Amino acid sequence: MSEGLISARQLLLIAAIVRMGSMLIILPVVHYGGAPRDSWIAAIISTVASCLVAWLSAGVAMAFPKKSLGHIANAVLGRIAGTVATFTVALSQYVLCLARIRTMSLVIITQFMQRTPGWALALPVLLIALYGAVCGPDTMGRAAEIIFTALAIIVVGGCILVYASRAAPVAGLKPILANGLKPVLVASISPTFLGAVTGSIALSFGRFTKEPTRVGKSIMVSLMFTGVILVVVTIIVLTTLGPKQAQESITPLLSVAGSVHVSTVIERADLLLLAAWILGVTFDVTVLLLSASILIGDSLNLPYKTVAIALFLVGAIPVSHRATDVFMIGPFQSPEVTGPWTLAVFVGVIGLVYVATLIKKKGGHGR
Amino acid sequence: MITENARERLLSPDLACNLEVIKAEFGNAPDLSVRELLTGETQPRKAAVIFLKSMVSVETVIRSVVQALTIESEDLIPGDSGSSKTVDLLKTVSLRLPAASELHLMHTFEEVINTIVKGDTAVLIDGISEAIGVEAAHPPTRAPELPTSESTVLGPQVGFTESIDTNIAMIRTRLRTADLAIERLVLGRQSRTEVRLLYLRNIAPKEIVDELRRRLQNIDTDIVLDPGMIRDLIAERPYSPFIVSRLTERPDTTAAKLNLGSMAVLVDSSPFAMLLPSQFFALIETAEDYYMQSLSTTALRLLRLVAYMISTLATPFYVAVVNYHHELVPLPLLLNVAATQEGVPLPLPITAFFTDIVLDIVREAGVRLPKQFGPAVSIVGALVLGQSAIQAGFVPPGLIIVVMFATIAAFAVPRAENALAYRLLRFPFLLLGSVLGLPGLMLGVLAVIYHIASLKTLGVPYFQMYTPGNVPRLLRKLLFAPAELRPRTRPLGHKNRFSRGPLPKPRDPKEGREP
Repeated sequence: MSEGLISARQLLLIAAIVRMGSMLIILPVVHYGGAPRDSWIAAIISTVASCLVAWLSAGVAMAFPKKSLGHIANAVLGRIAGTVATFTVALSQYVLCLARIRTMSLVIITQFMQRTPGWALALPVLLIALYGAVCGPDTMGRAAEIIFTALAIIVVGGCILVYASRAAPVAGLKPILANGLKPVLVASISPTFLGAVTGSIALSFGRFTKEPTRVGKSIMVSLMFTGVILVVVTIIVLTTLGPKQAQESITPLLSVAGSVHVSTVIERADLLLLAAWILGVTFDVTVLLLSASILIGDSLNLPYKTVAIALFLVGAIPVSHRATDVFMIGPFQSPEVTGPWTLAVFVGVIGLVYVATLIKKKGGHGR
Repeated sequence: MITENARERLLSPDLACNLEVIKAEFGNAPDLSVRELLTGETQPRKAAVIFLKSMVSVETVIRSVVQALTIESEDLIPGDSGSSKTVDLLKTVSLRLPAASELHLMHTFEEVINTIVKGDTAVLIDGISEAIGVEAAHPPTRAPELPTSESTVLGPQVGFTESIDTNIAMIRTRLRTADLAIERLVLGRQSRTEVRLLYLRNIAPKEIVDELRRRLQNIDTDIVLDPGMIRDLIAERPYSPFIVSRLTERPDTTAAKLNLGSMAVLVDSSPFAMLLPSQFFALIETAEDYYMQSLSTTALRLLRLVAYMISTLATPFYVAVVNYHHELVPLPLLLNVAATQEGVPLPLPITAFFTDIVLDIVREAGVRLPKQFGPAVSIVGALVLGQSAIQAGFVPPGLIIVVMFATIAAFAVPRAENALAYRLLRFPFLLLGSVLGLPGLMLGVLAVIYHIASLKTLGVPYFQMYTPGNVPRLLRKLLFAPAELRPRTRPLGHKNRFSRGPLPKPRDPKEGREP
């Protein structure tokens, strides 16, 4: 028996759901860069870049087994700088958690339940995220096993269904990289950011992993696995909707699913996909809330459950308020926002901790 | 009535004084029998045999105990000190007892009283400040019958009874091994209930057994009548609707689970055994599964899993779809549903809530009433009431169909207590489906997943899927594969991991070769 711990496999599943939940429906790889037909290349590039950025987080987590960034940063950077570094990462995760709740409620109320107020969806989601966070990492690990299985069945089944029932292949696609490499690189920034966020959960969940040396492998495998799914889904979306329509759609995958009619049985298959997405995103939100709570709690020597409750109370207002400018899906995930964010937090701050960790380790070794 | 302190007092050498205290303690209970007699003929000595007539076989007491007390003074064996005043009473009487009865020596009033209320017989002799307890309990019981709550077509047709010794015998006949550990506990300040903890010494994980034993020993309550009462007292999350320790009245199920590393708790006067730890996928198992052909078992298990989901989610899903997501429903069906909604006075969610409540009341009435009336109430309730409600326009027919379907699906669930737990979840799901539609239902499902994933019994997670080595076991739960494909390892057994060896290879008897 191992009270409160998760296995490396469970960490892999958690990371995979976090990345799938944040990417598949919104599909940022198609929206940005101005060359949607090449977005599958951007999906591949973003997967590689995600692995590189996420390795920093995984490396820090593996350097100090059974410790979170809250402990590690304080140890290698000193109390004040360590707390600042930890809070930067934790707040990034927390803001993303709130943003995803708003994104989800916006998608649902704009596309499916127009008369439902946003707060009526956002607050229950945050409440369930709090419940999951209070239950702890081991609960999330076991829940990931169920949710991953359900999502995998729905995603694979959905892909097969869409592929089997799609319209005639889209003709007239321009050759690959007709506009050069720049649009593709720009399109890969947002998914790389999401991959970096996925990697950053190693900094908190790594403390609860039974096999700390396998944290890096778990994160890398999950990123590569979800990268393959991202490429496949992108290709399906592009060939089904066409590049232009795919780029204009807020939720391209839902649009694809909406085009599928399972004759005389289900009129709109997109609702079923939406149901799976809600599962994935709510789990994703729970993981981010828990991760931020662990990081802040460890940095301030507070129980993460107490921090989670505090974050819930603070977050209830921004997720339920009617203001729509801050967390609008488009601007929030644009390369102009996510690029600097990735560089500042997930490369800059975590990279700094990584370097300090290496120096500390080397110094300790030398002595 | 004497005080607690008086109970702890040592017995006196004066028999009359001892009898006075014991009679006072029982308040002259009509079934308390105090037989005073003289032991020996040459130097008669006063003795008393005390028992509860309602709890013992009087004939046994007279034949074994009273006869054993015809002791001559010279037969008394001196005690350790060698003094003529001390007597090894236990040795003296035990040597004369013809039957293989369990004996124990008692020194305090409390021990004597506990022995008598347990149904045994206490023997006191004048001049000796000790008493002997002789096992002679013969409480009223019944012969083993069909297990009513877990009836099967195939397999053994016998269930536990209210006698704990009979129940242990039934398990022993299925596990003839000296590794079967049976630990005795007495629980309940007032009930003094005999409880047995069973496990296989060579299989059950020691730390889990120790934890269960610790929890049982720490129970401090007045009365224990059934393992169900113990379950509430040792539960980690007693407010959870999910049953994490299973009750069974089948000895074959108990033996099979013990062999997989589980523990069983038996309580005297209850025909149920509690099996711990229990896990999520045990929900879809029945004893019969192990006696049937694997393909049939697979189909039935998947059917039960679907039945669980339908019993919980069918009504909330119907309400969510009709209220919010018409686009999921094919147009002809949608038109039909819309037509039946016409003229119904209450909104669909409220109608659904009341229909569910009425059906639950009908079901409960059918269960509680005597057998002769139960079916009649069900027929009147389900058919007449349902038909009248539709004709009066109170309830749309579509809703009645869905609610009835969900209710029937709940009956397909193997164990009634589990079915009830899942049916309880319908109401929060109904609320979520009514207010937030399909997204609300998904949030509810996720909350349930979190809850299930957070549950543990004795430190063992209630739900686990992908732990190393668990995937084949999980597949076995869902898809009951032929024996050669089933995992050989035990889920809990860290030691002695393999439950069977390789299967014998089939051979054609005519040719003597493998086909």
